[in-house]
Amino acid sequence: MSNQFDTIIEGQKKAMEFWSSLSEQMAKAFKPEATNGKAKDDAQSLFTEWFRKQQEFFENAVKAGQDPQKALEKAPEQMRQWMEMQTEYAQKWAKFYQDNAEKMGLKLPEFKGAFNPAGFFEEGMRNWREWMNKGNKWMSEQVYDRMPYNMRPHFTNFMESYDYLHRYWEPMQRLIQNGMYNKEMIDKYFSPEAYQKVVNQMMGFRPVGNTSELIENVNKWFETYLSYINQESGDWSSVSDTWKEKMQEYMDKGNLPFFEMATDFNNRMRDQLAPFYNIMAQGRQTEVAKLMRDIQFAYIAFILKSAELQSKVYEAGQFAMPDTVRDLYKKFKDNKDMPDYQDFFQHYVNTLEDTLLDVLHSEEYSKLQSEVAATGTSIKAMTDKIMELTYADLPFLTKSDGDDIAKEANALRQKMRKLEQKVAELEKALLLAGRPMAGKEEAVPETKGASKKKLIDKIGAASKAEADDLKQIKGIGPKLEEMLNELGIYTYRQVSKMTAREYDMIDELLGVFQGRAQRDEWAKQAKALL
Amino acid sequence: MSNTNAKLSDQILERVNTVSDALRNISGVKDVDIATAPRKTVWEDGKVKLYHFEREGEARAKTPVLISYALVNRWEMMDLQPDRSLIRKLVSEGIDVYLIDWGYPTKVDRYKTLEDYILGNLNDCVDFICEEHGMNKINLLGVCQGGTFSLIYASLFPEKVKNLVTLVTPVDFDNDEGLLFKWAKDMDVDAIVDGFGGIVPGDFLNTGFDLLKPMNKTRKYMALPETMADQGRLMNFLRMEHWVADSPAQAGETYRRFIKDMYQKNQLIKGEFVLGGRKVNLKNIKMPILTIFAKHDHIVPPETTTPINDLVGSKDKELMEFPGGHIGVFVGSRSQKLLTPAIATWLKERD
Repeated sequence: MSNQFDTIIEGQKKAMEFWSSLSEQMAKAFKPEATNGKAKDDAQSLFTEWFRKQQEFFENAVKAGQDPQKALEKAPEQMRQWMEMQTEYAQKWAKFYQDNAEKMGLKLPEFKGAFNPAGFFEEGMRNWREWMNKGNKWMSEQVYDRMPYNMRPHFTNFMESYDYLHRYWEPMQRLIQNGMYNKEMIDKYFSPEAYQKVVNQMMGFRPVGNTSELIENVNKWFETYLSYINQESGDWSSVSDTWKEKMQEYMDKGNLPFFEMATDFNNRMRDQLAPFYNIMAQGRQTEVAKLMRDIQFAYIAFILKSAELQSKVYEAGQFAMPDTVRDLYKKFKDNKDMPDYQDFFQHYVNTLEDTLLDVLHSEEYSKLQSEVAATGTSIKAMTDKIMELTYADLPFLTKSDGDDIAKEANALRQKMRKLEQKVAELEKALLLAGRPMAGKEEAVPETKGASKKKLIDKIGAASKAEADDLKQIKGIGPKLEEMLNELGIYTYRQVSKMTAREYDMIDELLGVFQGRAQRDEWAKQAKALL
Repeated sequence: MSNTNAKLSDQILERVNTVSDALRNISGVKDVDIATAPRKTVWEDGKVKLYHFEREGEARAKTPVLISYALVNRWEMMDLQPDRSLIRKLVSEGIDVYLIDWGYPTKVDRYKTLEDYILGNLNDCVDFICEEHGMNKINLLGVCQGGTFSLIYASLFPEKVKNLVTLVTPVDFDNDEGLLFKWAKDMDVDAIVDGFGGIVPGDFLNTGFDLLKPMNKTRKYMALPETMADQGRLMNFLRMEHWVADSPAQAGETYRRFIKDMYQKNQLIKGEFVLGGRKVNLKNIKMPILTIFAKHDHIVPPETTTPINDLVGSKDKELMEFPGGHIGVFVGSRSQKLLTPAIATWLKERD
């Protein structure tokens, strides 16, 4: 909360400084020899009165500024009072100069006898403009804080480009006034660099700079990295401890170019470093080195294509600024109407968008954009692959493990849906056939009895007296033995005669322990025990 | 002299007032609330939820309506602020409103298919609502991509859809005016889905949406001091920012298929689209259908929307033009005053 009031108070202090320096300048006009006594006295008393009022006003304003809420409430009212006071004194001064200028030996050619308050205020407003700008800046920060995280870069870009152009607003106005025919100014403010900077900011581009130089840097960086891997491959465990120093050493040598993307990549690799060295020790170095190479080439392709894409945008937008100035010049010529900065900015933005949309609609742009996206994502895929190799022997779930699980989950989902559909169809068919819906009752006991008989017919009957210790068979515990006994299975001989069909019957009869007999090969075990 | 004076001082005064109001407003913002219409989650399956919005007054229509929203951004657009809420307005018309929240897909959803969304989730929700209301069929309201889903669904299960409303729904994807349509044709969707490891981040999609009107953001921020000086407009601005930023990732297989079969091959309109082994024939849509398109829609241009009227088998069909853009359909004042009541009336006449 305090920021905005610091700004207000600071603005007010600045305004006071301005007035005191102004008073000094103005006092110079009152050299005794330049005027007669009366004018001098008049001027001095007018000035003293004016200055006193200013001071009083700002003192009060600063006092009010101690309480933030009050300052906030009073700001518009204070501004109004201040403006009224300035208007009043501007008129008084104008009259004074009209009456005394000649006597004072002053020439007022610009005013042509009539005081120009607009011009005067324009000058005097500088401090307030500063106040406003600071306030705007503070507000931007407040807005920024309340924005969703991923919207912030856009906002920052906007603020930067807005400010950037604003810095050139005065020369821009002069250009508008004289229809842009000022070579010096054009060279100064419309250089390719200045232009590119604005477009970058507005479009959210990452400036790529000189392409060939950049590619050289990319190559250098990858080379360094690869040579680093090769040199140090003998002792990976110790390297990870001294990683930071090593990297610093390389950076100090200037072997690592400092462009942002490489740094990002570098940081990511650093975070992955300990396990990364682990795989080196296990002989995956070659594979990783190859991937690094592939990434290098893909990355160069990505940069080239991005640069091409961006240059399309630059090319298209390059006339937006001169066109804007020309449009506004026409208006200025017709009715001397100078737009304010906001209007100017808006006009530029609209003009720029129109030309950009033409490019965005072009066949070339669409194709190029697709290639950029595909190349960019392929780099990501390769980086992922390196991670995958890195984690291969560590107890982490890797991307392809996750992939398997997701695949499996989806297969189950689809299977379930098919089954649900089938059930629905069957229910429908039953309803149409006039039967009650199935599935509500338990399987009838007769069926169970019948299967049991079938099973015993196949493997032969036995009694409790002949019982073997079925627990000797791996996979059969006391509980299962009891259940088998209930089915009439007591001996190794009986178990040894079982085949897949009997296993299924047992599964069906017992309900639980699905597939265990098959897996543990009971028959084989029982044969061995005979 | 005094004229110029007054003009200048007025200007400055106005700016000071603006800034001072803006300061007060922004300092007071604590929370940016969207989607405030009271609702209950009545059904859930994994990340997918079915909401039922609570009605205060009497029911004035017996058939409930299910809203199928797009996957590419969030349904909160339909209830962004209390006084500009398509959902609240529909509910206030005495209609039972249900909505599917598709959730935020994560890596585990990378193989989630269009079948899973339409034959699975959407169908399950329709069945649930039918059972809940003891009905055989309900009304379906599809929005944007969710509208394409609802067309597919209504073609496959015409017996379950009583009336169909589509809102800014693309059906003819062979279009060069809409930038998304043009770009998607050249898109190497395999490289993108595979490169992202099967889950396409929301930010990637947003980059594309941003470029449709490259200077939109700049314009929005330019007007910020004035926007902020008005408490209501400030909150709307922040709500919209939050909605725009809140883009769910896309399940890779669904995204791949939608781009290929719809944007690149335009299969739906040609009658070649197959879902779960069944060919989708739009002529099967014989129920009443209301097609709403936005005149100045730069995301889904009218030409991609209106052909549906000639493709369906319905006798009772209507095209309705909304004088605005894609987003205006949901949050414009005309949407609140005219569009939503018109939808409600259309539905009630066919209740």
